[in-house]
Amino acid sequence: MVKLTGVSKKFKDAGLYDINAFFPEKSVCTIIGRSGAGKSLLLRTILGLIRPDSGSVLIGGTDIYKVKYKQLKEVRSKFGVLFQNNALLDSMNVFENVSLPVVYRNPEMRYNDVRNLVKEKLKMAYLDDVTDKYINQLSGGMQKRVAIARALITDPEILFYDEPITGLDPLTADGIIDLIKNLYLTLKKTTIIITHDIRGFIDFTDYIMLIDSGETLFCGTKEDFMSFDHKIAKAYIKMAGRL
Amino acid sequence: MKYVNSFLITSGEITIFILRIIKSFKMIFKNYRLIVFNMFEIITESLFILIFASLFMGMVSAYQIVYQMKDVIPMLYVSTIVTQAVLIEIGPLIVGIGFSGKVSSQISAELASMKVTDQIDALEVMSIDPIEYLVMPRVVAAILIIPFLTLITEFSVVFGAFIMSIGVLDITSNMFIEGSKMNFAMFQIFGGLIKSVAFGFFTVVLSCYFGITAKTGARAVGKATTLSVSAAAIAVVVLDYIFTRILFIW
Repeated sequence: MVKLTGVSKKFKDAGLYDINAFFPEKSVCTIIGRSGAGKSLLLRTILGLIRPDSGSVLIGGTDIYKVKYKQLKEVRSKFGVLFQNNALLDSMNVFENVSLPVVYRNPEMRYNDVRNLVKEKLKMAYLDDVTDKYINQLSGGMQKRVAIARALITDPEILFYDEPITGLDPLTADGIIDLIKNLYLTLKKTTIIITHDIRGFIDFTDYIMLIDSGETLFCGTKEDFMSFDHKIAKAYIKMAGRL
Repeated sequence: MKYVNSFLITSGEITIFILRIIKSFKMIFKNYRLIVFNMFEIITESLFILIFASLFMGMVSAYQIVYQMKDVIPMLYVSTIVTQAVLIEIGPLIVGIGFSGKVSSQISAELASMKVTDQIDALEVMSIDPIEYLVMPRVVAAILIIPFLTLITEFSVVFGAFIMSIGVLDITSNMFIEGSKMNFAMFQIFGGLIKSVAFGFFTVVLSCYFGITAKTGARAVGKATTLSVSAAAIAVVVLDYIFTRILFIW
């Protein structure tokens, strides 16, 4: 469960203003908004990377800005995150990237077990035979899949996808959308998707949050969103082919 | 006033950063592979250039001493002056400045690039402390490797002076060796090594700090690199003065 209460953060040229949201367990929540609306800032706040000026962020009942760094690390161990630009460590190969979170947390884990786990997660992300390749040897779509495999390796409770299809060609984007959907259907993890393109995600989304200029315009079920009377909301509903 | 404020804030942040690094020393054994990897990186990055620069520094030093002091001191003292200066001052300083140019720029550019491409945030989210994983191994590697680099550098400077002395300046090898032994004390070597360890520590700490706190965008990488190289070079000369006063003058 992710709950935000009165979250505000002000920067010179951007910010979040009194954000309230509730994302139930094992549901798919899509955060939508135009470029510069504050979606990625909101994600960073949820991940504990940017401390808000006021308000609270509760992850499974723990206010992540009221706990010590050690406890924050424990909360974060429940996260699996796909960053907008993948954030793969380019000095490492695929195997090292995907295995990093488990190897770092369990240095005693046997090499064969790690190797099998990495293979399993890469397979879940529809990847094979890329373990020895370096990140710059992979296409954009493959890098996304590797980043998703890395997000899955610790068996997280909450999966975050920040702009998962931005910058991909339509076919590759469809592949990534299918992957995210299948992962949700097979793993049933709480899934939070941040995107400006709702088209592929609308079918399996349970909750939608619409933000603009750092403010919440809507936060509720997909069904309620479809009848939400707002100019920007209507544009998204139209984009999703539901109008 | 704005600059004073900014300086005080940065100094405070660097102090906290150093305390966090010291706290992360407990992870040395867990991260020993990274430390060894960084030691090799530092060696491959800096060893050749240090030896090359040191040889020429030695040759120029010997030549300059003879040029300036030819009619003032006996030629026996040329190697005495070179050796003393190298052990106490020139050796650690060459390593410090070399470190601030070569190693510091590489570390800050690498970390700043990682910062702007979210790699450091990704580590945080994976519950991997970037200080433990990225900074501490580099700092420990620098502390461990810099005495070795300093000794090689000192030897190279003296060797450069030796080549110049016997090849060009009509000083015999015996005279050079005898002169080198004069006024020699073991403490001079250790004092120089202590200085160089301090230079290495602060150079790497500053480069990691400016790299890891880089803002977004490509310009931020350049800015972080420039800042770290300038700050490290200034830190080296200031620390040199402080350590020289503490170790050799007081």
